Amino acid sequence: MSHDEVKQQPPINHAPSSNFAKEVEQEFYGDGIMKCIQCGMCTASCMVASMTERYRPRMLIQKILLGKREEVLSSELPWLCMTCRLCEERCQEDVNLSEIFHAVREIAAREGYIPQVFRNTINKVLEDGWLLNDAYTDFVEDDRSDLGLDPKLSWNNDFVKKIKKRYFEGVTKK
Amino acid sequence: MKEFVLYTGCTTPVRLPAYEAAVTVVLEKLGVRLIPMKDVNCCGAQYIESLSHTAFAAMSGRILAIAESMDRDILAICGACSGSLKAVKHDLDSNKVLRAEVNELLADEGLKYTGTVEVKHLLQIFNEDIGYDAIKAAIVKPYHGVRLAAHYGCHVTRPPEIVHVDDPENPVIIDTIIEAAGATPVDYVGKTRCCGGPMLAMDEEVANKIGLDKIKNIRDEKADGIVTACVFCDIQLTQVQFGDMAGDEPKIPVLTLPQFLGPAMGINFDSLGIQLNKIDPQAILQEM
Amino acid sequence: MTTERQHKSKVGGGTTEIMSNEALIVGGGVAGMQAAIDIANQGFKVTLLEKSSSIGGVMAQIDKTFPTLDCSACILTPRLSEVSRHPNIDLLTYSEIKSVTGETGDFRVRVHRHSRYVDESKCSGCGDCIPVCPVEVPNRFDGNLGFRKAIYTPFPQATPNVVTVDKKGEPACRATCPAEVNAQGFVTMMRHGKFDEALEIVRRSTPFPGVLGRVCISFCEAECERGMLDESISIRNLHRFLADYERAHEVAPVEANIDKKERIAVVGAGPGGISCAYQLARMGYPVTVFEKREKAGGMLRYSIPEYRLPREILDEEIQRVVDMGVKIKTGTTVKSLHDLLEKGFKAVFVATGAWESNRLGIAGEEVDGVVHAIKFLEDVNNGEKVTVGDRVVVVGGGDAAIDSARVARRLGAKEVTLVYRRSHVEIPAIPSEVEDAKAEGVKFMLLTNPVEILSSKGHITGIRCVRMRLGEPDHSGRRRPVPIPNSEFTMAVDEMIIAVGQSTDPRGLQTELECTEWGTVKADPVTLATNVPGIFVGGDVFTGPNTVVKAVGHGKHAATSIDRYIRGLDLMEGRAKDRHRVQSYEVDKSNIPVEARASMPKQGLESRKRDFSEVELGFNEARAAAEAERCLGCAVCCECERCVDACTRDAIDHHMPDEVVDLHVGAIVLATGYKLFDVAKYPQYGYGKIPNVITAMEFERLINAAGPTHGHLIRLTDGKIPNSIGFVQCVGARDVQKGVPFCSRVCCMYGIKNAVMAKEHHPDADVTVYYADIRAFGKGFEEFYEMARTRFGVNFVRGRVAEVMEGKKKNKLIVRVEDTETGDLHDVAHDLVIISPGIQPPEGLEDLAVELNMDLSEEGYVQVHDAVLTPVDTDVPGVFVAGCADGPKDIPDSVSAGSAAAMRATIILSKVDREE
Repeated sequence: MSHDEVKQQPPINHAPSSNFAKEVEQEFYGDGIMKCIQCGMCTASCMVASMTERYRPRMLIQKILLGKREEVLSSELPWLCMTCRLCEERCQEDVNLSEIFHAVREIAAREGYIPQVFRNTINKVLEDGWLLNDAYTDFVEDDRSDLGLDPKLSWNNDFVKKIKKRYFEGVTKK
Repeated sequence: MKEFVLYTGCTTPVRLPAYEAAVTVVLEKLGVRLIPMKDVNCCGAQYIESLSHTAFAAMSGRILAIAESMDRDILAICGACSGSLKAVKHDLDSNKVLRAEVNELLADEGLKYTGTVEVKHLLQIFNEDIGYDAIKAAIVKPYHGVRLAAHYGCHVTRPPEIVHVDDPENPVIIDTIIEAAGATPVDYVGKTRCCGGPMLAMDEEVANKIGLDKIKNIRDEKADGIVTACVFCDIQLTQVQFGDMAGDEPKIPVLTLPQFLGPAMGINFDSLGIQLNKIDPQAILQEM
Repeated sequence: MTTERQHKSKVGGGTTEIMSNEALIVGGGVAGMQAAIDIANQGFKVTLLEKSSSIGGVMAQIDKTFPTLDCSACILTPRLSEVSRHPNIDLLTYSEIKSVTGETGDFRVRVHRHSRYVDESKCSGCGDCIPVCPVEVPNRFDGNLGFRKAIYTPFPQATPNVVTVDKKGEPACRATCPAEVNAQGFVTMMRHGKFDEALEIVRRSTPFPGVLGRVCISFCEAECERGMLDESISIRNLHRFLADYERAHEVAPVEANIDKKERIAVVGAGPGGISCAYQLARMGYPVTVFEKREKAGGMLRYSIPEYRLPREILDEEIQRVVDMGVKIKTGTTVKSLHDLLEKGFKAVFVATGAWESNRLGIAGEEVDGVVHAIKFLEDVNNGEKVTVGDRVVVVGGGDAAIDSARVARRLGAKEVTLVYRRSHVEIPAIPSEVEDAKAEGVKFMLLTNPVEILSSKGHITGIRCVRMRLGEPDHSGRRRPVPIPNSEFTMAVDEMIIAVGQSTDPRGLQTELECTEWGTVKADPVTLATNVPGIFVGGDVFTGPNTVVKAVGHGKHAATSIDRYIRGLDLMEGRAKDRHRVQSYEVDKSNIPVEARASMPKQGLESRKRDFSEVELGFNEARAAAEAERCLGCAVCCECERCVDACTRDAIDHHMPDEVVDLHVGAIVLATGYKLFDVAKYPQYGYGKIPNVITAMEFERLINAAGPTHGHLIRLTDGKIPNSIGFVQCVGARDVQKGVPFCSRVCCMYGIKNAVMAKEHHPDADVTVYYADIRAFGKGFEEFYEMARTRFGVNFVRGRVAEVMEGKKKNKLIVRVEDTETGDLHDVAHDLVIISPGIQPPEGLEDLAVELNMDLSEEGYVQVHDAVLTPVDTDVPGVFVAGCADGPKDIPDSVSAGSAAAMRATIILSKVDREE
């Protein structure tokens, strides 16, 4: 085969395909992701990973470092961390995975990627001021009275209106 | 009498009011009075926290500011709430810009966060404010050799540099209280692992598998019961024993820490809400 | 790596003159030895200082080295030999630096040489002393897996090849005993069931094992270190058991060995006198004891009641002393001490005691029915018929008072009340006596003082007392009792026994000597010499009323003084106590379960009532052995001296003092080595909790033929061969959260080496190494890693281990890890898990750095001045560093650094008498 027939290939580039890792680093508590050496301590400590094949915290960090922005933001993976922080406790490079995944979630939310259950729950909180307004039945009220507790629960639902206006306008509607 | 304002969080008043009642009456007897907080909001843990860090800071920040206006430190009895309030406090104390933004939102209620209140979890109250000597002195009906497994909860003990409660890999507070009350604390595989509760939203099956793994490890050590220090953990470890994946083994009773301590202090079962526990703890309580 | 660092010259400006061309190497590991040899071979004198008892360092503990798999000892031992034989190397082991002053070319170093209690020039390292030593402690050299004796060599090729006695100082018990009874010694022998040898140890200090075993106040028990944990060892009762045991079995024969001519006189056959006579007879002196009363024993016989001390015990022990060649002349009153000297006695020991009873000093003391305790007890003990009233009051709180009260009960008193002016905290009597008195019905009326004795027809009818409270402390340090106004009350009694203390006879024999205002003799507290040469004093006549054991101690010390006096030696030399007493923090009590002390069985209360038979019944063998087991062995070596008996070369000297050596050197090389990270700081790995989780050093000792299992790689829990072995790497290294962010450089290679060795021992076992990276830099390392994988079949899994758990059946270990190459999460079962800890700076480096005025790096290592240009120089001119002291290094690099440091040092040394 002559040199002329060999197609010009683009140079092999192992750099991240976007500045995704850097972007995450800029978020609250997203810093430190670059310290990861992919040793697997986090995954070995992760209870979610032990119970399901589809979640591997180390691999998720790897995807972020490799710049797979769209894939990560649109997947459920960042939302599968249950924030127990055992990985953070054990990571010898002091990478705070749970916090990094929170940063990723925040970016994802801005771009409209929010799991339905989160959407629903937030809508509830932003309306009632707390999570369980609907679950507060007469039975529960009676139980509280029997226990000598105030059956009237005074949750404030004005403040959340401000929060909704400032931070969530349009976000939870999609 | 030391006084704290009690932040119950969303879950306890509705799903585990017995915990609220028990902690109030037990702490009162040990010299700590709890003042209920009115007009508060959800701390923003998990959900708001995931979508907007600033919104989260404002939600928890408001609770901190209300406590400040009442001039009392906060006692949080839910692990997630305690973790949130402490993390937000840490952020607000170290980030001026964030603090200014939050205070701006609080301004027209006349609230302001300046950083004077402390946030404590129930275990800190026992360890730091009451002390084991006082707890031991209050025991009038000790348990006799009942084997109990302590479950601390992730947000209670981690991350240690924010929450300052106990050694996260080797926690001892609940075990020490169990021993002080005459029971035998039992060590088990995976003691510091999560109960699975936070996973319920995204994947109930995985959440329950995680919870049942913990139950199995506790059962392997032949414990008679589980003692918890977080409402979420308590509900999850109870709930997970019902349901299809649970199997036929006899259920292990789950008690919140004040419900465990109260009977040993001579407090009657009714005011501790024992009758509301889904798994009957009679087997444990009979051993007094 | 920087080259711009400013030279932090501690020398002010100009040049320094090199005053010494000798060198000091601190640390006898492979780096230190290399430096020493290289300097010495150039003709300079070197002192090689080593903290432990042998040079060799960590390399002596290792089995094989990487990457060549050479036997570590084979490479190391020729060096040990070379160092010890080199004419220019002075080897100071078991030594530490006390202080360093001066500067490059002119360092003055003061070295503290701990005594090994063995003469290095006499000991041949034969080891005959080791099997007979009764003390076992965990063997640090074996990673605390096995045990070694108190006298030991750490490993077979230890250099110098002499044994070392591990003795921390004086144990609290022996340090407190006035007679220096070696409690730790005899209790240790008792643990091994060697009761005769234990008794022999007791008899070195006192002739009264049975007597003191019953009446001693036991100061030792108050200081016993075990008491800091739960309850002190029941030393007195164990002491007594030995005497009882001998009586029940075979009594050791007594030999009279009087071979000296100088006759000694002892005045008073009480505990002090008999003790002195006994010690002198042991030394071979002919002793005559003069005793005024009908029988020997002093207050032991005439004061202490029989239910505490049966007469036959006392008689037998006194007889034993007589059998040793001591003459006791009872019924003989000495009229003059000076006469004795004139009669030809070369020395005299006066121990006449204090028999005068103090008066209360209140009105009515002369009436009938008021007796003094000393007289009362003497009469009873003499066998005279003594009657007591129905309602007896005893005034006082000492043992004489308690004795009187309990005797009065036995003689039929219906009510006995003890009145004492201070509280139960100050009461001087032995606590068990007080307890027994209460059990026998003696009523204790504390904080009460009689002020008047009421009488009718010349006989006591009652006493008027006043209640007291405790005020400020008086000259004795005890709080002074102060009467409470208007608290007087009257108590009807028909007999009063006064026991408020004794004093010496104001017209007694001792007045021939210089006395104090209280009538006691003035004497030197250590030598017991009085103002008259040749006359020594001891016991109550010297101290005032005091304890039996104190008198016994005086007798012993006086005997030493008398011996020296007769031989014309200095009385005082070497006798002031300068030995370190073992402190509480030096005794490790961490893993010892709390256990109450053995209780003394006592005669039932009913049978005690009118009987003078012994109340305390004594331990049986099982109880005694169990109690002896509780001893913590504070000083480690218990000075039982079995080693001395076993040694055929007289090499062991338990009184060898520590030494201070002053060195003048021109250059110092630090080669202090390292210690391993404490992996218990990772609770999730279960080290210390889960069995069969061990560290790499423990593994080395297991596979080492000189180790605790003779080189058999087995599980220590059940001795079984592990079929599946896991190695966890990167523990205590590369961990930001634990403050050790740096890579420890050697763990990957030593981990692979250990894995290969595991396969060598058990080719069929499956061996897995769990890692984050394999750092196989350097020549031969990559090849070694390949060989491990291909030739030996070691598995390598790329994933850091998160947790080690105990398997369900509790005989397997489960390792949870992610195989990062596949993303699979695994729970792997192993029989044995080895944790590879990172390397840390050694113990004591911080303290040494202060002495050298040197800053350590952030991680605690010696700071190298410039890593590129002067990699073995420190920031202190004249001080160099080699080996792991400045950071983790393997053996070849340590050796290179040793040679480099030697070179740098000799640049200075070669310029001696000139300026640098």
